[in-house]
Amino acid sequence: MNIVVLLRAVRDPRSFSVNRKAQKIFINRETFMINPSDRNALEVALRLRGETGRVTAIAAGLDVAEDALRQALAAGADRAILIADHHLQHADGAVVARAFMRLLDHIGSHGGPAELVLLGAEALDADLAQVGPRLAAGLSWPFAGDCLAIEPTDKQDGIQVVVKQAGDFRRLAADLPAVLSVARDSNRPRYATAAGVINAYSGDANLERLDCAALSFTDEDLSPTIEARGHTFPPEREYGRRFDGTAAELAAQLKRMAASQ
Amino acid sequence: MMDLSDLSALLGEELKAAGHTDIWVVTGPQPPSGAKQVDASGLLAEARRLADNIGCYVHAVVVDTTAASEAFTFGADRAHVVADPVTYLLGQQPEFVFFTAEHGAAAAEFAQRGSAGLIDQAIGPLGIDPETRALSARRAVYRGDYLLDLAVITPLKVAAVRLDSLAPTMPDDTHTGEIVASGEDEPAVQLWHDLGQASYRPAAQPPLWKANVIVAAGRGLVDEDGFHRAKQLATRLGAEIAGDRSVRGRGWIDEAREIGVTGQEVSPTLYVAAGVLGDTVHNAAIAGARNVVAIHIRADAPIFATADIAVVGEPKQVLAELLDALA
Repeated sequence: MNIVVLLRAVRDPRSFSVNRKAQKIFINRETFMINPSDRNALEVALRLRGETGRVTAIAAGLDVAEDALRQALAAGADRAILIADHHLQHADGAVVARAFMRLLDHIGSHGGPAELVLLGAEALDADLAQVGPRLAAGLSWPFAGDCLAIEPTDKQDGIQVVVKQAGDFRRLAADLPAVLSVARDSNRPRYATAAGVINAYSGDANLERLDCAALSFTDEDLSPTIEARGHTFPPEREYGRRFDGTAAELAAQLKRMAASQ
Repeated sequence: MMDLSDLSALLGEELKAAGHTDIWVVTGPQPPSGAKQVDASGLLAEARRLADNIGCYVHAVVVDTTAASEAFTFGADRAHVVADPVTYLLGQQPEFVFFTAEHGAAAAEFAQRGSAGLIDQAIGPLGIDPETRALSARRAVYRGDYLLDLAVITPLKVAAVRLDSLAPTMPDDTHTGEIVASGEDEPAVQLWHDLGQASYRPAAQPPLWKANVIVAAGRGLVDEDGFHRAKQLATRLGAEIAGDRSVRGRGWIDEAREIGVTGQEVSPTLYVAAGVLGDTVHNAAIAGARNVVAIHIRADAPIFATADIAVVGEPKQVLAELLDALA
């Protein structure tokens, strides 16, 4: 199966700390990693690839995105394509979806169209979970979000997934091509091999860099739909507040906190 | 500054065709059979508040007439009963469209087809700038470490709003509206076939440090019966059971479930400490927890220094009441 995986590099949560009192984010180290659920998506792709299939990892941005792609190559992806543009590093969902749609066209005309597009169900650092359904709507492909298990249908002509709907697990099937977002922690991503790492960072790694011009992606295509207006911080934590409500109130509060992310 | 549009407004001319500046709230699509409809009353009330500020109507897109009459009591002026909200809305040229966060994928599909900007998982209160007509909201990142302030600046603005971020509201039975029957549209083409219920079990038990909710038992639970109640609470909350050094000494838990510097350091969303006194090594190990609820008989227990909610009481008794309330 010809599978494309969308990757995003995010700042490692351990590399910064948030000070609610000072209303500031302190960045201690410039370390980035692949968005956690994107690693689960890559793992699904590598398992589904089969004998004749191919896994293409794609990302948009600059150095950190390129590094994410090299990590994917090290873990076993067959090739990687980077849209090298610094605007796309911080672009909103509509722009990113537009760029990847253009890149999927490019992939289709250079070595066979994608049959399955996978991405992580959540982006840790930005409002980019919408890229999956946006791609599917733009391409008129079926989309399923938060997939827990993904496998080909018995006749190998479609895809079936397990998703959680209203509290129970359902098995759904659709024809290919499709876009699926993979739930975080739904599998255990493999580690890169030592030889894989060496090859991924060597000169002849199968990594292609395209710029916006190569995809005929104009300034107009890059025009944002969302304006970022800064950060807000949750209220400072207040410790030791004595609870003197009823057990039912406490139970409701526990339920609410357990359900929040 | 006065421009031509101000002038024409003064002359009593219509600025824009009616309906093109309104707020639309989508309470559907229809949930899978057997599931209950998402209660979007808070979102309707939020739309009503915004509409009163900028002076426009609130339209509710609903699945049936019962939902329509309910939508009126929460502030909708018109209700549209449709089977395929996304396609229907594309034909209506709205300016603001709110979905619930549960329908984030439908919101993204609509935003894509309508060339709109979307704030997914938006956290209220929402805002509309009367001048620029930008729609603003927040969005949590890094699992709630901080929030991004975002504004949609496209002509059509879409948000998928988290209902738990909106204040609860009471229905106003005197408020009524008009049902606009859309003329039985066709439901959207289903690209997915439901193959029925699936049995799913995660491939591997995730380690304790990844757990989202943890119930930790301490010596304050007194006996096995108290520990059993802690385990029951863990089951009810979908949590992992753990404990501190003292209960490991009693053999209630094994090493993999011990919280502390000699055991595991954890950072769950919710950490319930039942009967845990909370020595320094234990409290250091839960420093990453987002919400800590501590139950202990001693009001001066060190655990309360790291707890967001301090319940002073006999842990066994409190757990018994909690289990009753959760049943």
